[in-house]
Amino acid sequence: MLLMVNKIKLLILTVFVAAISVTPTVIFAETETVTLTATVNVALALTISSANYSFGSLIPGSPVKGSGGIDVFVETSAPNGYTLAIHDSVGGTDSALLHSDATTRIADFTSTIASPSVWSSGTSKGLGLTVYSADTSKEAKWGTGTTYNDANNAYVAVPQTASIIHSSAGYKAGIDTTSIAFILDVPPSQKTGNYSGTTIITATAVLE
Amino acid sequence: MKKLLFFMPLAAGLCTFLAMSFLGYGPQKESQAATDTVTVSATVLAYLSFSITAGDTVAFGDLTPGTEECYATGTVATVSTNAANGYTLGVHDGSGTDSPMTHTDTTTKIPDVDNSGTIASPATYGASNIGLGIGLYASDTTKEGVWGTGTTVCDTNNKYAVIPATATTAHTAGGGPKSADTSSWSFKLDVANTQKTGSYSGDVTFTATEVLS
Repeated sequence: MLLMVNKIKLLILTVFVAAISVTPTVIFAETETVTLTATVNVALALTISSANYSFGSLIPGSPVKGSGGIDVFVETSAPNGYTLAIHDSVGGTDSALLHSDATTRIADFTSTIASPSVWSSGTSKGLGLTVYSADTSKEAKWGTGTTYNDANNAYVAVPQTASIIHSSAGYKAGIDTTSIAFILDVPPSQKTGNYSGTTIITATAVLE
Repeated sequence: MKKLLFFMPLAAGLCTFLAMSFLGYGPQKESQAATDTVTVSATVLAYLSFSITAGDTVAFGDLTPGTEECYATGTVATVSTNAANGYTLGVHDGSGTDSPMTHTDTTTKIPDVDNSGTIASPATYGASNIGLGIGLYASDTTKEGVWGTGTTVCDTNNKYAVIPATATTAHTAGGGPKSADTSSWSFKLDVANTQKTGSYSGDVTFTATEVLS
Protein backbone atom coordinates (compact mmCIF):
# COMPACT_ATOMS: atom_id res chain seq x y z
CA MET A 1 0.00 0.00 0.00
CA LEU A 2 2.78 2.38 0.96
CA LEU A 3 4.61 1.51 -2.25
CA MET A 4 1.55 2.39 -4.32
CA VAL A 5 1.11 5.76 -2.63
CA ASN A 6 4.75 6.60 -3.33
CA LYS A 7 4.32 5.71 -7.01
CA ILE A 8 1.28 7.98 -7.30
CA LYS A 9 3.26 10.82 -5.69
CA LEU A 10 6.09 10.23 -8.14
CA LEU A 11 3.67 10.28 -11.06
CA ILE A 12 2.10 13.53 -9.90
CA LEU A 13 5.53 15.08 -9.45
CA THR A 14 6.62 13.94 -12.91
CA VAL A 15 3.53 15.39 -14.53
CA PHE A 16 4.04 18.64 -12.67
CA VAL A 17 7.68 18.88 -13.71
CA ALA A 18 6.74 18.14 -17.29
CA ALA A 19 4.15 20.88 -17.20
CA ILE A 20 6.52 23.56 -16.03
CA SER A 21 9.30 22.45 -18.37
CA VAL A 22 7.43 23.31 -21.58
CA THR A 23 9.24 26.12 -23.35
CA PRO A 24 6.67 28.61 -24.70
CA THR A 25 6.89 29.55 -28.37
CA VAL A 26 7.51 33.28 -28.51
CA ILE A 27 7.62 35.05 -31.82
CA PHE A 28 9.73 38.14 -31.74
CA ALA A 29 8.85 41.06 -33.97
CA GLU A 30 10.04 44.62 -33.87
CA THR A 31 8.90 47.67 -35.73
CA GLU A 32 10.65 50.83 -36.82
CA THR A 33 9.29 53.87 -38.59
CA VAL A 34 10.74 55.95 -41.37
CA THR A 35 9.54 59.52 -41.65
CA LEU A 36 9.06 60.97 -45.12
CA THR A 37 8.80 64.68 -45.79
CA ALA A 38 8.41 66.82 -48.91
CA THR A 39 7.46 70.31 -49.84
CA VAL A 40 5.44 70.57 -53.03
CA ASN A 41 6.23 73.67 -55.02
CA VAL A 42 3.65 75.53 -57.03
CA ALA A 43 3.01 74.25 -60.51
CA LEU A 44 0.82 75.49 -63.31
CA ALA A 45 0.10 74.06 -66.71
CA LEU A 46 -1.92 75.84 -69.39
CA THR A 47 -3.27 74.22 -72.51
CA ILE A 48 -5.89 75.28 -75.04
CA SER A 49 -8.28 73.19 -77.08
CA SER A 50 -7.25 74.89 -80.30
CA ALA A 51 -4.47 77.24 -81.27
CA ASN A 52 -6.44 78.58 -84.23
CA TYR A 53 -9.60 80.57 -84.39
CA SER A 54 -10.76 80.99 -87.96
CA PHE A 55 -13.56 83.38 -88.92
CA GLY A 56 -13.54 82.43 -92.55
CA SER A 57 -14.90 84.93 -95.06
CA LEU A 58 -16.43 88.08 -93.71
CA ILE A 59 -18.92 90.46 -95.25
CA PRO A 60 -18.80 93.91 -93.65
CA GLY A 61 -21.89 94.48 -91.51
CA SER A 62 -22.46 90.79 -90.83
CA PRO A 63 -20.63 89.73 -87.66
CA VAL A 64 -18.99 86.33 -87.58
CA LYS A 65 -18.19 84.20 -84.57
CA GLY A 66 -16.13 81.35 -86.00
CA SER A 67 -17.15 77.75 -85.62
CA GLY A 68 -16.58 77.23 -81.91
CA GLY A 69 -14.99 78.58 -78.81
CA ILE A 70 -11.61 77.83 -77.31
CA ASP A 71 -11.35 75.95 -74.04
CA VAL A 72 -8.54 77.08 -71.80
CA PHE A 73 -7.40 74.31 -69.45
CA VAL A 74 -5.42 75.14 -66.33
CA GLU A 75 -3.91 72.73 -63.84
CA THR A 76 -2.31 74.24 -60.80
CA SER A 77 -1.32 73.33 -57.30
CA ALA A 78 -1.73 76.92 -56.17
CA PRO A 79 -3.65 77.12 -52.93
CA ASN A 80 -5.63 80.13 -54.12
CA GLY A 81 -6.26 79.27 -57.74
CA TYR A 82 -5.17 81.34 -60.71
CA THR A 83 -5.98 84.26 -62.93
CA LEU A 84 -6.39 84.23 -66.68
CA ALA A 85 -5.23 87.20 -68.70
CA ILE A 86 -5.10 88.09 -72.38
CA HIS A 87 -3.31 90.59 -74.58
CA ASP A 88 -2.27 91.15 -78.18
CA SER A 89 0.70 93.53 -77.88
CA VAL A 90 -0.94 95.86 -80.36
CA GLY A 91 -1.36 99.40 -79.20
CA GLY A 92 -4.08 101.96 -79.72
CA THR A 93 -7.43 100.92 -81.06
CA ASP A 94 -6.13 98.25 -83.39
CA SER A 95 -6.61 94.55 -82.96
CA ALA A 96 -4.12 91.78 -83.61
CA LEU A 97 -5.65 91.14 -87.04
CA LEU A 98 -3.16 92.45 -89.58
CA HIS A 99 -3.67 92.49 -93.34
CA SER A 100 -1.25 90.57 -95.51
CA ASP A 101 0.00 93.99 -96.60
CA ALA A 102 1.55 94.06 -93.11
CA THR A 103 0.12 97.51 -92.48
CA THR A 104 -3.64 97.54 -92.38
CA ARG A 105 -5.34 96.31 -89.22
CA ILE A 106 -8.87 95.59 -88.11
CA ALA A 107 -9.89 97.69 -85.13
CA ASP A 108 -10.55 96.57 -81.59
CA PHE A 109 -14.07 96.42 -80.26
CA THR A 110 -14.73 99.44 -78.10
CA SER A 111 -15.65 97.94 -74.74
CA THR A 112 -12.98 97.24 -72.15
CA ILE A 113 -12.38 94.30 -69.86
CA ALA A 114 -13.63 96.36 -66.98
CA SER A 115 -16.99 96.72 -68.66
CA PRO A 116 -17.88 94.27 -71.43
CA SER A 117 -20.96 94.90 -73.53
CA VAL A 118 -23.31 92.82 -75.61
CA TRP A 119 -22.59 92.91 -79.32
CA SER A 120 -24.99 95.00 -81.33
CA SER A 121 -25.24 93.31 -84.67
CA GLY A 122 -24.71 95.72 -87.55
CA THR A 123 -23.51 98.44 -85.20
CA SER A 124 -20.66 96.98 -83.21
CA LYS A 125 -17.39 96.72 -85.14
CA GLY A 126 -13.94 95.33 -84.63
CA LEU A 127 -12.59 92.23 -82.92
CA GLY A 128 -14.29 91.32 -79.68
CA LEU A 129 -13.54 88.74 -77.02
CA THR A 130 -15.89 87.08 -74.53
CA VAL A 131 -15.75 84.57 -71.70
CA TYR A 132 -18.85 82.46 -72.13
CA SER A 133 -18.19 79.63 -69.69
CA ALA A 134 -16.03 78.83 -66.68
CA ASP A 135 -15.82 75.91 -64.28
CA THR A 136 -15.20 78.36 -61.48
CA SER A 137 -17.53 81.33 -61.15
CA LYS A 138 -17.77 83.07 -64.48
CA GLU A 139 -17.92 86.80 -63.84
CA ALA A 140 -21.37 88.27 -64.37
CA LYS A 141 -20.00 91.09 -66.50
CA TRP A 142 -19.53 88.61 -69.36
CA GLY A 143 -23.27 88.34 -69.81
CA THR A 144 -25.59 85.40 -69.54
CA GLY A 145 -24.47 83.53 -72.64
CA THR A 146 -23.43 79.94 -72.30
CA THR A 147 -22.17 79.08 -75.79
CA TYR A 148 -19.57 80.58 -78.08
CA ASN A 149 -22.19 82.19 -80.32
CA ASP A 150 -24.75 83.09 -77.69
CA ALA A 151 -26.32 86.49 -78.33
CA ASN A 152 -26.16 87.18 -74.59
CA ASN A 153 -22.40 87.14 -74.49
CA ALA A 154 -20.71 90.43 -73.63
CA TYR A 155 -17.50 91.38 -75.46
CA VAL A 156 -14.37 93.46 -74.96
CA ALA A 157 -11.38 94.62 -76.92
CA VAL A 158 -8.25 92.54 -76.48
CA PRO A 159 -5.86 94.88 -74.64
CA GLN A 160 -2.28 95.60 -75.61
CA THR A 161 -0.93 94.37 -72.30
CA ALA A 162 -2.00 91.41 -70.25
CA SER A 163 -5.22 92.08 -68.39
CA ILE A 164 -7.15 89.65 -66.25
CA ILE A 165 -10.31 88.36 -67.90
CA HIS A 166 -11.11 85.67 -65.34
CA SER A 167 -10.17 84.83 -61.76
CA SER A 168 -10.53 81.24 -60.66
CA ALA A 169 -10.20 81.29 -56.93
CA GLY A 170 -9.41 78.44 -54.57
CA TYR A 171 -7.35 75.27 -54.75
CA LYS A 172 -8.20 73.07 -57.75
CA ALA A 173 -7.84 69.34 -57.40
CA GLY A 174 -8.24 68.90 -61.15
CA ILE A 175 -8.22 70.71 -64.47
CA ASP A 176 -10.15 73.96 -64.44
CA THR A 177 -11.66 75.07 -67.74
CA THR A 178 -12.57 78.51 -69.01
CA SER A 179 -14.11 78.98 -72.44
CA ILE A 180 -13.59 82.04 -74.57
CA ALA A 181 -14.79 83.12 -78.01
CA PHE A 182 -14.27 85.93 -80.50
CA ILE A 183 -16.58 87.96 -82.66
CA LEU A 184 -15.68 90.09 -85.65
CA ASP A 185 -17.27 92.65 -87.88
CA VAL A 186 -15.73 95.38 -89.98
CA PRO A 187 -16.93 98.60 -91.52
CA PRO A 188 -17.51 98.74 -95.27
CA SER A 189 -14.27 100.62 -95.62
CA GLN A 190 -12.16 97.75 -94.30
CA LYS A 191 -9.60 96.76 -96.91
CA THR A 192 -10.36 93.42 -98.48
CA GLY A 193 -7.93 90.62 -98.09
CA ASN A 194 -6.56 88.16 -95.52
CA TYR A 195 -5.97 89.18 -91.95
CA SER A 196 -4.33 87.24 -89.15
CA GLY A 197 -2.81 87.85 -85.77
CA THR A 198 -2.02 86.44 -82.40
CA THR A 199 -3.51 86.91 -78.98
CA ILE A 200 -1.72 85.65 -75.92
CA ILE A 201 -3.41 83.95 -72.98
CA THR A 202 -1.62 83.88 -69.67
CA ALA A 203 -2.50 81.90 -66.55
CA THR A 204 -0.94 82.97 -63.29
CA ALA A 205 -1.02 81.01 -60.05
CA VAL A 206 -2.31 82.81 -56.99
CA LEU A 207 -0.27 81.79 -54.01
CA GLU A 208 -1.62 84.11 -51.37
CA MET B 1 77.15 -17.99 19.32
CA LYS B 2 74.08 -17.72 21.42
CA LYS B 3 73.70 -14.15 20.31
CA LEU B 4 74.01 -15.14 16.70
CA LEU B 5 71.41 -17.79 17.13
CA PHE B 6 69.14 -15.19 18.67
CA PHE B 7 69.44 -12.50 15.97
CA MET B 8 69.50 -14.71 12.87
CA PRO B 9 65.81 -15.59 12.94
CA LEU B 10 64.95 -12.03 13.79
CA ALA B 11 66.94 -10.64 10.83
CA ALA B 12 65.50 -13.26 8.51
CA GLY B 13 61.98 -12.32 9.53
CA LEU B 14 62.65 -8.64 9.02
CA CYS B 15 64.09 -9.23 5.57
CA THR B 16 61.12 -11.34 4.63
CA PHE B 17 58.72 -8.60 5.78
CA LEU B 18 60.54 -5.94 3.80
CA ALA B 19 60.67 -8.06 0.70
CA MET B 20 56.95 -8.86 0.89
CA SER B 21 56.15 -5.16 1.41
CA PHE B 22 58.29 -4.19 -1.57
CA LEU B 23 56.52 -6.73 -3.72
CA GLY B 24 53.11 -5.35 -2.72
CA TYR B 25 52.19 -8.14 -0.40
CA GLY B 26 52.43 -6.08 2.71
CA PRO B 27 49.55 -4.81 4.84
CA GLN B 28 46.96 -2.84 2.82
CA LYS B 29 45.73 0.64 3.68
CA GLU B 30 41.97 1.07 3.29
CA SER B 31 40.88 3.85 0.72
CA GLN B 32 37.47 5.08 -0.74
CA ALA B 33 36.43 6.86 -4.11
CA ALA B 34 33.05 7.89 -5.55
CA THR B 35 31.87 9.70 -8.71
CA ASP B 36 28.73 11.65 -9.63
CA THR B 37 27.59 13.78 -12.60
CA VAL B 38 26.01 17.22 -12.93
CA THR B 39 23.79 17.83 -15.93
CA VAL B 40 23.98 21.38 -17.26
CA SER B 41 21.03 22.52 -19.38
CA ALA B 42 19.68 25.74 -20.85
CA THR B 43 17.09 26.80 -23.40
CA VAL B 44 18.11 29.65 -25.67
CA LEU B 45 15.05 31.72 -26.38
CA ALA B 46 14.30 33.40 -29.63
CA TYR B 47 15.87 36.78 -30.16
CA LEU B 48 15.46 39.49 -32.72
CA SER B 49 16.87 42.97 -32.90
CA PHE B 50 15.76 45.42 -35.56
CA SER B 51 16.71 48.97 -36.31
CA ILE B 52 16.80 51.41 -39.18
CA THR B 53 20.49 52.08 -39.39
CA ALA B 54 20.36 54.63 -42.19
CA GLY B 55 17.72 56.75 -43.84
CA ASP B 56 15.21 56.86 -41.02
CA THR B 57 14.19 60.27 -42.31
CA VAL B 58 13.52 60.63 -46.01
CA ALA B 59 13.45 64.35 -46.76
CA PHE B 60 12.60 64.91 -50.40
CA GLY B 61 12.85 68.66 -49.96
CA ASP B 62 11.27 70.92 -52.54
CA LEU B 63 9.33 69.01 -55.13
CA THR B 64 8.34 70.40 -58.51
CA PRO B 65 5.30 68.64 -59.96
CA GLY B 66 6.24 66.64 -63.00
CA THR B 67 9.83 66.15 -61.90
CA GLU B 68 10.22 62.87 -60.06
CA GLU B 69 12.45 62.74 -57.02
CA CYS B 70 14.37 59.70 -55.85
CA TYR B 71 15.72 60.19 -52.35
CA ALA B 72 19.45 59.69 -52.68
CA THR B 73 20.02 58.01 -49.34
CA GLY B 74 18.70 54.51 -49.00
CA THR B 75 16.79 53.37 -45.96
CA VAL B 76 18.67 50.45 -44.43
CA ALA B 77 16.82 47.95 -42.25
CA THR B 78 19.22 45.92 -40.11
CA VAL B 79 18.11 42.73 -38.38
CA SER B 80 19.88 40.32 -36.06
CA THR B 81 18.13 37.17 -35.00
CA ASN B 82 18.90 33.67 -33.82
CA ALA B 83 15.82 32.27 -35.51
CA ALA B 84 16.62 29.10 -37.38
CA ASN B 85 14.80 30.23 -40.47
CA GLY B 86 15.67 33.88 -40.64
CA TYR B 87 13.09 36.63 -40.69
CA THR B 88 10.59 38.51 -42.77
CA LEU B 89 10.39 42.23 -43.22
CA GLY B 90 6.98 43.79 -43.61
CA VAL B 91 6.08 47.33 -44.57
CA HIS B 92 2.95 49.42 -44.26
CA ASP B 93 1.74 52.99 -43.98
CA GLY B 94 -1.75 52.68 -42.55
CA SER B 95 -3.22 54.51 -45.52
CA GLY B 96 -5.37 53.09 -48.29
CA THR B 97 -5.12 54.56 -51.77
CA ASP B 98 -3.04 57.45 -50.52
CA SER B 99 0.50 57.53 -49.26
CA PRO B 100 1.11 58.52 -45.63
CA MET B 101 2.35 61.93 -46.74
CA THR B 102 -0.19 64.42 -45.46
CA HIS B 103 -0.32 68.17 -46.00
CA THR B 104 -0.15 70.48 -43.04
CA ASP B 105 -3.83 71.09 -43.66
CA THR B 106 -4.16 67.52 -42.22
CA THR B 107 -6.47 66.57 -45.08
CA THR B 108 -4.70 66.65 -48.43
CA LYS B 109 -2.54 63.65 -49.19
CA ILE B 110 -0.04 62.64 -51.82
CA PRO B 111 -1.32 59.47 -53.52
CA ASP B 112 0.34 56.10 -53.72
CA VAL B 113 2.36 55.53 -56.88
CA ASP B 114 0.09 54.95 -59.87
CA ASN B 115 2.29 52.44 -61.70
CA SER B 116 0.08 49.51 -60.63
CA GLY B 117 3.04 48.12 -58.72
CA THR B 118 2.28 46.04 -55.64
CA ILE B 119 4.55 44.43 -53.09
CA ALA B 120 3.92 41.14 -54.84
CA SER B 121 4.60 42.63 -58.24
CA PRO B 122 6.48 45.95 -58.24
CA ALA B 123 6.70 47.94 -61.46
CA THR B 124 8.94 50.50 -63.07
CA TYR B 125 8.46 54.10 -61.96
CA GLY B 126 8.03 55.87 -65.30
CA ALA B 127 8.25 59.54 -66.20
CA SER B 128 4.48 59.77 -66.36
CA ASN B 129 3.93 58.20 -62.96
CA ILE B 130 3.11 60.14 -59.84
CA GLY B 131 2.77 59.23 -56.18
CA LEU B 132 4.98 57.64 -53.54
CA GLY B 133 6.63 54.30 -54.30
CA ILE B 134 8.98 52.03 -52.38
CA GLY B 135 11.58 49.69 -53.86
CA LEU B 136 14.11 47.16 -52.54
CA TYR B 137 17.42 47.71 -54.26
CA ALA B 138 19.82 45.60 -52.19
CA SER B 139 19.86 42.98 -49.47
CA ASP B 140 22.45 40.82 -47.75
CA THR B 141 20.24 37.80 -48.15
CA THR B 142 18.84 37.08 -51.59
CA LYS B 143 17.06 40.13 -52.95
CA GLU B 144 13.82 39.01 -54.53
CA GLY B 145 13.81 39.21 -58.33
CA VAL B 146 10.52 41.06 -58.46
CA TRP B 147 12.28 44.19 -57.24
CA GLY B 148 14.20 44.55 -60.47
CA THR B 149 17.88 44.46 -61.28
CA GLY B 150 18.89 47.78 -59.76
CA THR B 151 21.73 47.77 -57.29
CA THR B 152 21.83 51.36 -56.10
CA VAL B 153 19.28 53.54 -54.40
CA CYS B 154 18.20 55.45 -57.50
CA ASP B 155 19.04 52.84 -60.12
CA THR B 156 16.67 53.14 -63.09
CA ASN B 157 16.31 49.37 -62.99
CA ASN B 158 14.70 49.49 -59.56
CA LYS B 159 11.03 48.64 -59.35
CA TYR B 160 8.58 50.30 -57.06
CA ALA B 161 5.37 49.41 -55.31
CA VAL B 162 2.52 50.99 -53.48
CA ILE B 163 3.09 50.92 -49.73
CA PRO B 164 0.16 48.91 -48.42
CA ALA B 165 -2.09 50.03 -45.61
CA THR B 166 -1.43 46.91 -43.54
CA ALA B 167 1.85 45.11 -42.88
CA THR B 168 2.82 43.04 -45.89
CA THR B 169 5.99 41.01 -46.25
CA ALA B 170 8.23 42.80 -48.70
CA HIS B 171 11.42 40.83 -48.10
CA THR B 172 12.25 37.40 -46.69
CA ALA B 173 15.72 36.61 -45.38
CA GLY B 174 15.69 32.84 -45.05
CA GLY B 175 18.13 30.51 -43.32
CA GLY B 176 20.05 30.32 -40.07
CA PRO B 177 20.86 32.98 -37.55
CA LYS B 178 21.42 36.45 -38.97
CA SER B 179 23.85 38.96 -37.68
CA ALA B 180 23.22 42.52 -38.78
CA ASP B 181 21.51 41.38 -41.96
CA THR B 182 20.54 44.39 -44.05
CA SER B 183 18.02 45.24 -46.69
CA SER B 184 18.14 48.60 -48.44
CA TRP B 185 15.11 50.52 -49.60
CA SER B 186 14.48 53.33 -52.04
CA PHE B 187 11.67 55.87 -52.03
CA LYS B 188 10.53 57.73 -55.16
CA LEU B 189 8.03 60.54 -55.46
CA ASP B 190 6.35 62.80 -57.99
CA VAL B 191 3.07 64.68 -57.88
CA ALA B 192 0.50 66.02 -60.29
CA ASN B 193 0.29 69.67 -61.28
CA THR B 194 -2.78 69.89 -59.13
CA GLN B 195 -1.10 68.61 -55.96
CA LYS B 196 -1.64 71.31 -53.41
CA THR B 197 1.47 73.30 -52.63
CA GLY B 198 2.94 73.07 -49.17
CA SER B 199 4.64 70.72 -46.77
CA TYR B 200 3.81 67.06 -46.49
CA SER B 201 5.01 64.39 -44.10
CA GLY B 202 4.18 60.89 -42.97
CA ASP B 203 5.55 57.64 -41.58
CA VAL B 204 6.26 54.28 -43.13
CA THR B 205 6.51 51.37 -40.70
CA PHE B 206 8.82 48.40 -41.13
CA THR B 207 8.26 45.23 -39.10
CA ALA B 208 10.83 42.46 -38.74
CA THR B 209 9.45 39.10 -37.66
CA GLU B 210 11.55 36.05 -36.99
CA VAL B 211 10.77 32.77 -38.72
CA LEU B 212 11.00 29.93 -36.22
CA SER B 213 9.82 27.02 -38.32
